[in-house]
Amino acid sequence: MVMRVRFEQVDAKEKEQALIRAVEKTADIMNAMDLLENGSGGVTVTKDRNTYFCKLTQIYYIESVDKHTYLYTKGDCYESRERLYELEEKLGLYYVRISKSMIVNLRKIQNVSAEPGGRMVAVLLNGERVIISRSYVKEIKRRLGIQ
Amino acid sequence: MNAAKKLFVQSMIISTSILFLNGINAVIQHFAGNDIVLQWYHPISIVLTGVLCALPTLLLLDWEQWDRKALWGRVALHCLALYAAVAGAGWLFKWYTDAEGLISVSVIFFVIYAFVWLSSHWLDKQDEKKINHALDAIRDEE
Repeated sequence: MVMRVRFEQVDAKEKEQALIRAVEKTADIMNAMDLLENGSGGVTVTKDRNTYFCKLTQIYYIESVDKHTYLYTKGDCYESRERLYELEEKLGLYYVRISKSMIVNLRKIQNVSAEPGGRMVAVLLNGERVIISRSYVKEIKRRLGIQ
Repeated sequence: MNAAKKLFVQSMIISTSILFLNGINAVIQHFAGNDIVLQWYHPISIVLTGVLCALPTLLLLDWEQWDRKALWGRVALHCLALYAAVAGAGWLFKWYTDAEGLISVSVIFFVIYAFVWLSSHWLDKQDEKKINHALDAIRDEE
């Protein structure tokens, strides 16, 4: 794939964005989008005393329980030494706080449904359900570019 | 948002709503030939009622800690607490003087309470549609 790339400098972090104009969404373009949206990083995690490197794109959601931080992928659960707020800083645009103790990867949400009281239930691609607290809905809308 | 700010915002919303409804009622009464005269304590009673109604909202509707089973129980308790605050303030500040007046205040209260819940839920459903539409564009393929 050969594509002309143009760089344009902006004066603020919030103004940063990448626009890809292409005929179709190829694997290369998907990889480029993934890199731009999520960075190239990952998180060092442990499971059964073994250490693994978990790519950010594999994460479904992250939960903090009794000062322990757990990362959930499609079918596994790992523990991280990092605190939730520390992970929050290194995650990309689509990893968003949905309650005091949870961060979800928006790209892994199948759908959301509003419940009486203002909170929402998100059904993830693996069928799990997580609760989005009322006070975090506004930030989700902002991240998704909804006015 | 901290508790003091939440209390202030809630109080202002409720007080403004009561003032708005009283304003509408005053206009209707005026054209029906019955002008309403406010007493010196009426404006401050509206503010105090706003604070009284905001307190149960903060204490009972802590959105972070709700579980689904407790939802309707808490809503019923919240509704009754607000009703007690409005009916109590109405009695204290002489918004009504007889049973007929209390019934009118009660009917208006429950209609407004149901309207607020239904309209809030409708707005949440609009957000749901917008969010689901936006998620369609970014969802990973598994």
